[in-house]
Amino acid sequence: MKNAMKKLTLALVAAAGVWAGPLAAQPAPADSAVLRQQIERRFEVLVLTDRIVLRPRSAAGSVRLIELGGPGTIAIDGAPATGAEVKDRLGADADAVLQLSYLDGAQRRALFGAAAASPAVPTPPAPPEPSTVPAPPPSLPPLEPTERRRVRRGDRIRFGGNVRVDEGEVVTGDVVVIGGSARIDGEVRGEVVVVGGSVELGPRAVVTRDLAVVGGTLQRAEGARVQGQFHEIGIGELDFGDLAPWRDWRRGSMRGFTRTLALMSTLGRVAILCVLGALVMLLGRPYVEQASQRAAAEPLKAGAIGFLAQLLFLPVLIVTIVILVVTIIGIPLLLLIPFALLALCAVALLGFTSMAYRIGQYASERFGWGLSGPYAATILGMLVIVSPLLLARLLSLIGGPIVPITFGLFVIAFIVEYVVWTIGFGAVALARLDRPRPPALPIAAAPPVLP
Amino acid sequence: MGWRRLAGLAIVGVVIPIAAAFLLLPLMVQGFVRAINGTVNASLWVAASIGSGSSTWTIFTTVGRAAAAAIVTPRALAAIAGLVLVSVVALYGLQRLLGYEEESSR
Repeated sequence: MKNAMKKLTLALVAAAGVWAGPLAAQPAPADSAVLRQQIERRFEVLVLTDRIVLRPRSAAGSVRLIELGGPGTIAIDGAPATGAEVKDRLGADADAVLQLSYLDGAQRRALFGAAAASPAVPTPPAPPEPSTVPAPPPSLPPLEPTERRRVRRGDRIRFGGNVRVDEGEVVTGDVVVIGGSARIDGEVRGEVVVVGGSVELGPRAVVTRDLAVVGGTLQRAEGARVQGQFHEIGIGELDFGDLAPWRDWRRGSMRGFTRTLALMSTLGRVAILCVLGALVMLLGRPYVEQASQRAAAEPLKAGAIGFLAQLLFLPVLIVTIVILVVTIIGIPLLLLIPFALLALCAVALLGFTSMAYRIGQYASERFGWGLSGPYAATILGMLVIVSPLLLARLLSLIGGPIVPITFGLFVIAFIVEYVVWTIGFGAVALARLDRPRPPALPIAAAPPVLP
Repeated sequence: MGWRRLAGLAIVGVVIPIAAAFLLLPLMVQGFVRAINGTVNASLWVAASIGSGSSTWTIFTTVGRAAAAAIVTPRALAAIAGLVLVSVVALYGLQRLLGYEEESSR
């Protein structure tokens, strides 16, 4: 009885193995997508009539070419390889390649959507199998295109505007858009990164590496290909329904809306600065007065110190982070970096407030406004400092022929604010070295001269 | 003499930032792109590692090794050497300016 049960169990296990074999070799739809993504991330795929050729994207390894012939047949650099050799030479990529090698030719073509693109196939391509493989994109872009393609070497970088890669256009580097959107109809051989905007991929768009959208959305036409990974970070697209201003704004036809928004944000920033300046004045008035005196006495020196401190900031930050990470034991100390940055911001605000206080005092005396209080002087100084920016924002609402004046004002506003922040920071550093001078000793009265 | 010195400083102050912007901006943008991708990938990896129950020090060790491996490339080493050079120049300048100030305040 016991033997009979044992035989029955073995028979069931064997039957399960017979059933599971083909099922395991045939990936489920979700697995197919993952497998394709894994393979395309690591290799350039060329689908031929009787085999698939994989070429590693990274030149770091020793493998140059992998050929997958019939099911289970793998050759590395022209030499047949066993499963153990594949694992030995490909390492982490071996599993994906082995899994791909289990598929037959039709499944592989369906997986990579290359049946229609294979020029050497004399017979009609095998139809995709919807039950096992997800619908593939129509075709791979031709390796040797017949039409003339415009190749732009290097990156395409745009701040505050949109980028368009037209059909037939090839960008060999990255496409980076900050504060704008990207429309890709051609090929981007690097990465696509869009911050604060959306990405539209046309039906023939090809992105060879990763695509990242921060604070925007991706609209992807059928047939568009992203061979790397896709990251979408943000709140997605807000839906305000058919609200007309929102619709117009999304279409980009209502520029006044964005300009008004920019003016409002500048006013908000000024208000926050005024509140913080008043707070600094409340908590550290002696420091503010000391720094403002140093800034007025030695503005060039303070500016040079502030500039050198800015120059020092980024290298020190990066090198510190690298050292902490590489030493492993320092990784927990990375938590202290935000606090250090916060302290640095506080020092910068102290310097800015000192400068605003001094400028406010000067303006008050110059125009005879009689603002004697420190808070009023600080706020007045801040308004004077940001006045070119406020004026530029106001003029930008008008637009038209005064655009060059507005642009000039923006440049002046940037320079003024930068100089004020820089000198203020340096003045705080200089004032830090000032020691409180000891009070003057009372001079003893001279003894009366005897006659 | 004072005016000449000031004019020289102004010219240097304008030319150096413009040249640096032309030379360094593409590199900075590339670095920014790599940083965004790296941060996203690292965050996903760390979340997956925590989810799978890996210990904190195992995660730290892997991160440290990956960072060390990423740094040991000619490009990364050159970038770090450039940063160190800039910081040395800035420190020297600060030492000249603030050191003199400290001496005089004693």
